[in-house]
This record gives sequence, C-alpha cells and structure tokens, in this order.
Amino acid sequence: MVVKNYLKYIFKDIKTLASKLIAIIMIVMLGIGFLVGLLTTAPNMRYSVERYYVDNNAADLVIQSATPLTENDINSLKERTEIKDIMPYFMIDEVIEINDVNRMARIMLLNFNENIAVNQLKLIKGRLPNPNNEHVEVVVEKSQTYLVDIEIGYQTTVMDQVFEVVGIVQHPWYFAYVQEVSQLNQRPIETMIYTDESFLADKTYTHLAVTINNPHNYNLFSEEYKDYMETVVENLEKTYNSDFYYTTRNQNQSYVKFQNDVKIVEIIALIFPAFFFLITILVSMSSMTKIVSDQRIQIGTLRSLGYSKTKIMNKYIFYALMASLVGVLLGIGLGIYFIPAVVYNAYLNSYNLPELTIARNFLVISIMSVVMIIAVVLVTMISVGATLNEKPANLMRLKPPKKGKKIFLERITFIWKHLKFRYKSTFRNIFRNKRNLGLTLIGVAGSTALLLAGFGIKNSVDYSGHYQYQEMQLYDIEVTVNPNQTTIVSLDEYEKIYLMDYTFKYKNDDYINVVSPENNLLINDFLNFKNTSRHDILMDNNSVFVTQQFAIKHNIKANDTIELEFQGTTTTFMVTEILDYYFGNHIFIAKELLEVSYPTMTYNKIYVKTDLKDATAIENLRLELDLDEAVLQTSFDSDIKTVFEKTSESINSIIIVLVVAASLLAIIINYNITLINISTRQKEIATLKVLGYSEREVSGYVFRETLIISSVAILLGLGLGKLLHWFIISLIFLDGIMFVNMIDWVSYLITIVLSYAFLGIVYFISIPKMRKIDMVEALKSFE
Amino acid sequence: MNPMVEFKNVMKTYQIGSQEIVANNNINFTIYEGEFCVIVGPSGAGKTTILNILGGMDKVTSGKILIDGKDISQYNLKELTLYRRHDVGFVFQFYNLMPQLTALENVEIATEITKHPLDPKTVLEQVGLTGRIDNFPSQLSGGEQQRVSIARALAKNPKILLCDEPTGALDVETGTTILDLLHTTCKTHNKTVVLVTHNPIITEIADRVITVKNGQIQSININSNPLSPKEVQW
Repeated sequence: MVVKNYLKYIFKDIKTLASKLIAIIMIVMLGIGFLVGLLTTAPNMRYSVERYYVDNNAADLVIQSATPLTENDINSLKERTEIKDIMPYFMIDEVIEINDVNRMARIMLLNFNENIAVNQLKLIKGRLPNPNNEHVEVVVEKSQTYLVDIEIGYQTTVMDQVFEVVGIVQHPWYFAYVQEVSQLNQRPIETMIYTDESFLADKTYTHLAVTINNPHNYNLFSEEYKDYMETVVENLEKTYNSDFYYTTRNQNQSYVKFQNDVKIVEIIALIFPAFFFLITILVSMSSMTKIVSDQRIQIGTLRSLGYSKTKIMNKYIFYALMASLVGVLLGIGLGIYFIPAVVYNAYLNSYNLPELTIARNFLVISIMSVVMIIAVVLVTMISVGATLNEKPANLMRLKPPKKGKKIFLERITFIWKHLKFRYKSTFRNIFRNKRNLGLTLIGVAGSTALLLAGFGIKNSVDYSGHYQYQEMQLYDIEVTVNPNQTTIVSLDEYEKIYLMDYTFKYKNDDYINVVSPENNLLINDFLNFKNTSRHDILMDNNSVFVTQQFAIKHNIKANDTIELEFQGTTTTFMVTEILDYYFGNHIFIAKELLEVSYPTMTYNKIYVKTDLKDATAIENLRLELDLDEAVLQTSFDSDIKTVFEKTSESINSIIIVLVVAASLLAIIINYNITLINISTRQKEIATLKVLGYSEREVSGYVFRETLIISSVAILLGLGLGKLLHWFIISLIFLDGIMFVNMIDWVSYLITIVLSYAFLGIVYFISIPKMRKIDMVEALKSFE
Repeated sequence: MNPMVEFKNVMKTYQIGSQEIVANNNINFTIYEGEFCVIVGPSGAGKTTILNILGGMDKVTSGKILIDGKDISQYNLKELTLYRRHDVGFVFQFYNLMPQLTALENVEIATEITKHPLDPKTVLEQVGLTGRIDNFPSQLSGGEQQRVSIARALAKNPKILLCDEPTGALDVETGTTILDLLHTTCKTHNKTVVLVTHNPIITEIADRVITVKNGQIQSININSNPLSPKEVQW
C-alpha cells in the first residue's frame, strides 16, 4: 500500500519536473547522438566498401603472368588452401578510336556465359553482353573524372568487327576517381571495356583475379589483413618464382585513396568524444542538482516522515535512469544513420560507390550508452547524496545563498579601486559559485576550441592545396616522356624545362623520387621553392632539397647526409634544405651533384608552362600530347586541382558536422548555466527590481558575469583550439599527404564572432525568464 | 501638512483561472508627510496587496493613487520602475541583502541609480553600523542586516519609506531597536513611513493606524499620543 502510494507520488512528481528532466534527455540525446554518429562514421564508411567488395566477390589479389597462363598454373593455384576463388581472364591496354578520338582503353575479356566468379561487374545501366550475338557486345566502366563517357548504343567498327556498347558497369577495383595508368606505356587509362572471352578464337589468359580465404575474418581495411596478404603473396612467390607479378589491394589505387580519405575522417572525429562526454555529464549534473535543491523541503518532509535515505535516493536514480535511457535511445536513433550518411554522401563526389550501409556497431554503441547512463546516474547519486546527508531539519529550510567573500582581485587595490561598482559585484559573483564558473569555462572554452579546430582544418586543407598547386608549382603540365625520345613537337612554342625523375632506394625499405633539372637557375621559374620556415630559396649547383614529409618520417634535417641507391650505385648527399611541401615525396638534387655518380642518366620528364586559359585549347594540347608516341603520361595541373577541390569539399562535410555540434553544445551549456543563474538568484533579481532597477539593468546584472567568464573562456578556447588543430594536423600524416599547420586569422575572427553570437542568442531567449520573475518574490522568506 | 499618499476608491482583483478574486475593494485613505503610519490586519486581509500597489510593484484594477500629488495608477511599467527607483525606500522582512556585497556596497547598489542619494557611509553610521561597513551580510547579525536594509532604503532619499514586517524575523529586543531607528528617522528627518504588520502592538507607536480586514478598510485611527518604541510593553 505504502509502495503503491509512493509510486503514485513519483509519477505525479515527474510531471512537475518535466522541463528539467527534458533538459537532461536533450543533452544526453545530443551527446550520444553526436558521439555515436561521429565514432561510427569511419567504421560505417569502411563497412560499406567491405560489403561492396563481398557482394561483388572482389579480388584480394590479381596475379599477372608474363607469359600466357597454362591450365597447370591455374589448377595448381586452385588447389592451394589459402585461395578461395580464382578467375582467369585476358587483359590488354590498347589505344582505340572512340568518337574520333584515340583513347587509351583497358580491355578485359571475361566469361559472360557463366557468372563471373571474381570481380563481378555491377550493372548500372543497360545489360550485360550477349556472347552469342553476331556483333561484339561490350560494357564500359561508368565515367568519372578520368574515364570518358560512352553512351549505350555507341557502335564502332574495328578491323571489320562491329562493336556495340550495351551497358554501363562498375568494376569493384575501380571505384575511386583516380587515374589508372597503363602498364604497357604508363599512359593514363581513359576507358575500361569488358566483353566476352569468345572474342578471341583461342582462349588466352594473362591475369588471374583471386579471392583469398580469410580464416580470421580480418577486417578488409585492417593492418592484419594487409599483413596476412603479404604473407600469402610471399608464400606464392616461393612456389612460383618470378613468373608472376602480384597486385594486392594495397597497390589498388581505389582502395588506397578510400583508406586515406576515411582515415582523415576518423582522425577529425577523434577530437569529439572526450569533450562531448564531459559536457553531457556536467550539464546532467547541474540539472540534477537543481532538481534536488528545488525539492529540499520535500526530501526533508519525507525524511522526517521516516522514509529511508535509500528509498528517497531510489526515486532520483529512477529519474536519472529514465531520462538518460530515453536520451540515449533518441540519440542513437538520431545519430546512427544521419551523421555517417552526411559524411559518406559528401565523399561520393569522388567515388562510384553504392549507398551507405550501416554496420552493426553494437559494441561501440552499447559501451557508450552504458557508460553514459552510468555516468548520469552516478552524478545524480553524488548530488542527491550530499543533500540526503544533511539533517532533515536543515532540509526544511531553503539552502541559504552562498556567502560572499573578498576575492583575490581586491588585494590589487589599484585595479579594484578603479573598477565600477557593478563590476566589483560581478567579479565577486564570478568567484562565489565555483561550479558555474567551472562549467562555463569548460563548456565555452571547449566549444570555442572545437569551432576553431574545425575552421582551422579547413584552412589547412585549402591552404596546403593552394600553396602546392598555385604558389609552389608554377608549371601547368607535367609530361613524362620516353627517355630516348625527348623532343615533343607540340610543346615547341611553350616555356619548358627538362628533368630527370627516377625512383631511388632509401635505407632498404623506402623509395623516393629524385628529381634533377637540366638547369638549376631555370627550375626556379617552374618551382617556387620555400623551406620549412617559409623563406624563398633558390636551387643552385650544391642544392639537395628534401620534401617535408619524407624528412619528418626519416628525421632528416638540413646539413644531414643521406645515402641513396639507384641501380646498384649508392651515393651520399648532403641535404641543404627541407622543403615546405605537402603532397608527394621528392628529393630535388642539382644535376651537377647527380652526374658525378650517374653520368648516363637521361631526361624523362618535362615541366611545361602554357598559360592556356581556354578549355578547348587545353583539350587540343592534351589530345596532341596523347597522340605523340614519345609522350608516356601527361598530368595537367587543372585536373589535379579539380581532384583536390573535391577532396576539400568532402572534408567540409565532417567539418560542418563538427561546427554544428560545437554550436549546439555552446548554446545548450550557456542556456543551462543562465537558467541556473536566474533560478538561484530569483530573490536577488526580484530585490533589484523593487529597488528600481530597470529590466535592462537587471539582465545586465545577471549576464555581465556570464559575459566576463565566457570572454575568458573564449580566449582559453582559442588557445586550446590551436592546440587541438595542431594535434589533428600532425595525425593526418598519410603516405604522400600532409597538411600545413596554419589557421587563418579570419577563422579566429569567425570563431570569436560565433561564440559571442551564441551568448547573444542565449541572452535573448533568457530575457523573458528574467522578466517573468515577480517582484513579490522579494517579499518571501527562504521557505 | 501635505498629503503624501492618497488612495481613492482603489480596487484590486486577481484572475485565478476563471475565478475573479477581489483582494482590495474600495480602499480610501490619506497619509500625510512625516507621518508614521501602520497598516495592520490579519494575514490574508489584503495588506500585502496595498503594500505591493503602494510600492509600485503591482497595478491597480481601478481607482487612483496619488503620491505627493502624482497619480501613479496611470503609470506604465517604465514609469513605475522610476517611481520605485526615486520615490520609494523599501525595507524587507528578510532584509534581502546581496550576499556577495559588503554592507557599504549593499547601500551603494541603491544609491548608484538614484538622482539625489545621501552618502552611503554617513547613512550607515546613522543607523549605527560604524565599523561594520566592510562586512558581508553573513558576518552580520539579523538586527545589523536589517539596519543595512534600512540604510539602503534611506540612502536613496525617498519620499516614502515602505516597511514590510521589518521586525518579523527578529527577536523582541532587536526588533525594538529597529522600530526605534525607523521611528527616529521619521521624526528627525520628517520622512513618511508606512509600516505593514500583523502585530497590533506596533500600532501603539503610529501616528495613524489603518486596519484592514477582508480586503477592505475596517478603520482609520489617529493616535494623538503615540508612544516611542522603547516605552511599549512588548
């Protein structure tokens, strides 16, 4: 009977506490929502591609043979335990004419009569080729930055054979917008064409697409998987000596690019959890404390009626449990799909991939949820416990306001003397309630730091691209040429420089491209070298410039000596400068130094300045170069810039999530603190009103304090944000990619303006709360 | 003598849900400058409503209230704020001092916004707090806190001093000294004092006693021979 009444009382009570419990639900929801969303984004992105790999039985390994593969080879490979499926096919890179233009095409002959076993093609449009048709039916890879668009129905006749495009497909190894290069002549592949193997009268296989048994179910993007694949390849190499050439996913450009992009997302997402967690708990704690202090008299009454501490405590634990549980569930619902989808979809601008698949991240989500709920319950127990331990008689009175006392600042008389009265009062108040002070400092500083770090990452990405492609690299085209045939007619009219660009071995396990120009003075017109202190430097006869990332990785400093090996000859060079450089690893060495050890080295690269602005003129030059036998590869600055811009856009998505999260948090924390401030000072506010203070003066009295603490917190947050930014930037150190550690002053400005804007928003939404305080409150006692 | 406070047919009703509650009905009285006036009545009689209206904290439903000849019943919220700021000194039952401010600063918080304030230090000395002006409320006794509250009201140099049960939270002895302070202030500075209480004994020191009952004035008595607080048998 008693229990029943008590329960009834609890449910009635919930109604009166609704607004405060909702506040807890909201903050827990946001906290968990962002935590779950952000922490699962990278795993979900990886999982989506893993699913894509599995669904299409994508190859773990492609084996290429110098000589046509024999039945024996195939059968013996099939018997190996580590190999699951094997699909032999013929592949060749050929120049073919498409829409009157010669295009470098990768042609694969597959068996369309049966289901393709490995690297299944995903049909996007049209249908798969019918092998029995009289003309040759083909399907082509979906177009992207580097692959031309060929429409279904396109027909062409090559050597009396009619070819017709019947479908558009996606090959699971070519989903990223990257330039695949022909192994034949290093030229970029412009289209990929798939047709039935019956096209060739006698079946010949050059390649094997192989899936490997994954006995430990290694995550396909894990280090374990990579290591395992290396072992598999090593074992195969032992058996099949040097006939085969092995390509694992780790050498597949799409896989590597995706891996890098996801890693950047993962690193940026890393900065959230601790802060989000802290804020959620602090806000829950202050809300719970408020509930308990509002119910002091109730608690006192129940205690004096003989209710045990445990029984009263249970009520609040029940509230905390319910509120955090509801918050957690709502948060999971909100965050689990939305945030990963926003980020993933942003990356679809540089990938041909299916929609996001949500992984079953039960473990991460349940750990976060349970920890969050426990934390909220724990802080509830702490704040209720403190009240319960007071004597019931004491509880019957409202807690008297905190005592005032002299603060440190007052000892500095010459400052204190000159302070206006209202500021003296404000400063004393600031130090009167240390918990509010702490909460504001942590909350505002934290969200300011997140904002600055977010904008800063954007600056770093953009500035790195701008610096490298606009300020540093002054040439427009990089042309790789046949070393024996370096005269390119179509480049006659343009300013250019010849270079040697060869891969050298460094310390047994790393490789580095050594670049040496024909003329040390001239190269400075093509590359605007800067050292890591951002001073302009010029190349001369003694120059050995090492790019930044390689230098950091191997701890190379200016004036160090390094040993490089090329074709069996090892040479020692003295490094003269470390270059400010963000994408790629190079060592620029003066020709005079290189010639000593490698006198026969020939030019194989040309940097060209065209200053061409017109798109058709650029396309014409590209075509001319493509048609030139001597040209192996061309790389247009404008293409690289486009790719970079897309990456930068994708990174924006995670930054937007970051900024929105930080902003919401900032507003919630500010609002929470302001509400506490107002409700604990109702009597003070009412008294001021009776004394004749205007509404503006009253809100100033309450808000001046928040403004001062927040200003200090914002300043602190800027410092913290700079640190956080530096931390993130130094973590993004992927192979050939790093970003400059720099935050634009505009970002500082925007961060400051936003932080104050949030204060302003909270100020305006809390003004009515202050207005509502009745002057009659001033006449009441503390009961 | 000038009339300082005039209530003319004042009515105040409250809307609670669909019910209209009459708190004051047809209230008429006049208090003259320099008078010590006590409004007395049991709780719920409507004296707090009179206090709220007189203090500019609430508006009347109908009727007129003239303060020093000005009709405050027509004032808007802003004008009422200025009225409270310049014309009324309020003494609370529970002192209502700002805990983070010293005694002196608690007086300054009022004088800071008024046009012709008195010197806070001098006023604090007048109310007998010499040597205590740098103490925080928590370091002062109840009586001392009430003195600060009175000093805060006086330092504004208001037209009327409104006191809401000023001795309600104090023991008899301390209460007597507080009443004595108010009484002396009234007499020596010719300040109009309106004191609201449920305690009928206090009426013995008043020049004018207004008795309120059931929202209406029951009687208005002029005390021809008011006692000084120290002479009253508490």
